[in-house]
Amino acid sequence: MADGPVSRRSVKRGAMARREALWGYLFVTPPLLGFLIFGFIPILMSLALAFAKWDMFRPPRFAGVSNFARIGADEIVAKSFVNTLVFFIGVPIGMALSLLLALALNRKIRGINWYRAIYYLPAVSSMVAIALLWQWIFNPEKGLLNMELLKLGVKGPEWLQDPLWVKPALILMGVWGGLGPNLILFLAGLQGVPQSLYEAASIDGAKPWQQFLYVTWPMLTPTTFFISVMGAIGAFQYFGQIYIMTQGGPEHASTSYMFYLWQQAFTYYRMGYASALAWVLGIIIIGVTIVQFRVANRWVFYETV
Amino acid sequence: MKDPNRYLFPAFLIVLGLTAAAAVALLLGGGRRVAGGWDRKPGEIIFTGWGGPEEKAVFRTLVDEFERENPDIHVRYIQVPQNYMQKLQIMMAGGTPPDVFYIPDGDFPAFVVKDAMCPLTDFIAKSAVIKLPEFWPSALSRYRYDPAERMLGRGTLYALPKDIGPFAMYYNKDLFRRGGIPFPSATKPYTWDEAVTVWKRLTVPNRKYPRVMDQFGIAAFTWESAVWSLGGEVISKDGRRFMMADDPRTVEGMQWVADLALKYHCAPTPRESRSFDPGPMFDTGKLACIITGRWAVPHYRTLNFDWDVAPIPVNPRTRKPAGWSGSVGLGIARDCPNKAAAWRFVEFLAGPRGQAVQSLQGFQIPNQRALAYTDVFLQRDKRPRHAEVFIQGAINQRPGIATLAPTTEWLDEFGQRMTPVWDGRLSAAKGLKLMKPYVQKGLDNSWQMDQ
Repeated sequence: MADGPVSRRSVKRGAMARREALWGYLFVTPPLLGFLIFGFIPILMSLALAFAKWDMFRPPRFAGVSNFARIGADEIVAKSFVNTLVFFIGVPIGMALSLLLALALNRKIRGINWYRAIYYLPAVSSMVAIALLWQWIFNPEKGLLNMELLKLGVKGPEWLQDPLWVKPALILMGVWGGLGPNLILFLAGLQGVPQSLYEAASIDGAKPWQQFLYVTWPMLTPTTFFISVMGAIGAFQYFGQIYIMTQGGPEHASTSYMFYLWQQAFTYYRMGYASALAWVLGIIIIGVTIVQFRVANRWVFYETV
Repeated sequence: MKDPNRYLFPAFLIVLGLTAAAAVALLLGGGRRVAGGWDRKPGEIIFTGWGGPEEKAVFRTLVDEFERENPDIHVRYIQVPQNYMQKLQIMMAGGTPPDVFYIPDGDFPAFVVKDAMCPLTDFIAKSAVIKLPEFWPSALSRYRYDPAERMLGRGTLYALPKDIGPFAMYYNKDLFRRGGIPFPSATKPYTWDEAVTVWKRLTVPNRKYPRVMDQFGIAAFTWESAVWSLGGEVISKDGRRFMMADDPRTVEGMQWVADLALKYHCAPTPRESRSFDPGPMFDTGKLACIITGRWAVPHYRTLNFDWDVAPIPVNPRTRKPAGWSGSVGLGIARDCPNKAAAWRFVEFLAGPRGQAVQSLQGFQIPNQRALAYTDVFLQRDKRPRHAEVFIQGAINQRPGIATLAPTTEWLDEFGQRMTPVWDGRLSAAKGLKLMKPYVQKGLDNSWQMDQ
């Protein structure tokens, strides 16, 4: 049992905590309400639509599980899903590259801010501008990429028009575009590593690569984990570049799941089917994210203060 | 010891839930109140269209003029500069369709098949302004639908053409002069052989790198023109069957278009043309001829070289002129509460008065014949010199193939699978045969209305 003064102080602290909590709730209310009304309710409605047929003109009609049955029978769904999985290759490549770049940029070198700005530039540029730039880079006759390849004596492929090369091309572009944001996250992670750990490690005689392995890397695992989760979700929802640059072609070689879903909804007027596709994808994403979290217990290191 | 704060979070959730429920009730309630449309003032109609600032200005003038003459009607003009079709779809889905709206001819089938359009037959029968025989037949047929047979292209009229934009061969007169080649006739089209000879002479390799072309003879030859000039078909009249693989004339036409690049080397190869839009090539004088629609005229009038138009070349055996024209329709929503007022506005826009004002912009030819032969359209003081080429086009060109089935699912599939033919990896015969089941499936899907 606490005596008088302590008890009074704890009461006072309780009141303050209470006021602070109230303010906290007050501040999170608008975005939460926004999410409930404009996010959560439409999500629930799309679940209802997944069991209906709706062409946006006439009222939806209940259709049982036929939309889901259709997914099973749709060859292009299968193809687009495989394409989407191939686009995943870009996630680890992009992570490794941005980590390397972050390590390089985490030193005191001249013009460091310029480098950082340059690598971040794609993240703030408009998707359309980037797509136009890469359309030129991938141009088979006059594009940068094939011109350079020609100097090496290699006749480059038709990148975006060749069913074999369109996916590697889009992955290359995706990796480039994702470098900036990931780089910034890794940099933030690197700068959060306490200097004292390095000092302690060097007193123990750790060489630079040992310092990386036993200090830097464990301290970066939460960042790595975050980037891998967000990267996976982003890869599942890959859409913009395909919409602008290839429209899923040629021969459906670059049709991503999300692009196909959009096409069903907005060009073929199949909202019910598109909703079913969206829910299947949503469940897959949730599943993959849960697995990532489970596995994370084994390798992500959280510093306990 | 009890923590007074432990009730705070549940209380927060309850308050939040109640607020959200109230907001939703309000939204749904509000939705019900205006179900079936907008909150209108009496006599108000909602009109949506797209277009740049010029088109907006033209329609602003037209709306003002209409309102002066019809003081009992007020037009609320909603101009959508971008993503028009998506906006229109969302308005439909939300139960607030506009009363009068632009409907591109390629999107009209989906709208009419899904019962979103109001039939115009009765209004037209009583109209003193709209006289159907005055209109180009091909401008009207694309807005017809027979609900009983579920057939497009015939039956009841569900929209009136706002315009018709035929295709023609635009050519750079300066490049013809420089090549010492006489200008093509405005009345007698080139045969394919004549055209290829001319285009080859207009194709100029780079002096240093002979495999790189500085200038091409032709780009963007519309393959439909080639197929139709031979008498081939793309899909059957009822819109249900993909015909291209079975008809040798169609196969021949497709192969000829592919050969313009692959065999005759007078058009950019797929490698060259794909990432470079032929439009800018023509603009910069690197392309002698381009086949495109009438809507290109306002832009081409800003170019700093001399140009004109000629008919699309025809097959030497048949000599049959063929091509397609684009169009935008003016439709009334099926659920429009004041159809009589909406009709008066459509009648005004599609009638001679509205057409005259719109034609001055240059991007369309009037939907009615008599008007097309006047200076409202011909505009002798401006390019092109031979505007009557477009009138010929309006007579002998068809609606585009996107108007033949409810959605373009089949056409998207066709585009996906045509790549190897344009590349020369497959012959047209082989490519079309291979794609047939897939394109047919897309066509079947497109007609499956219940999806």
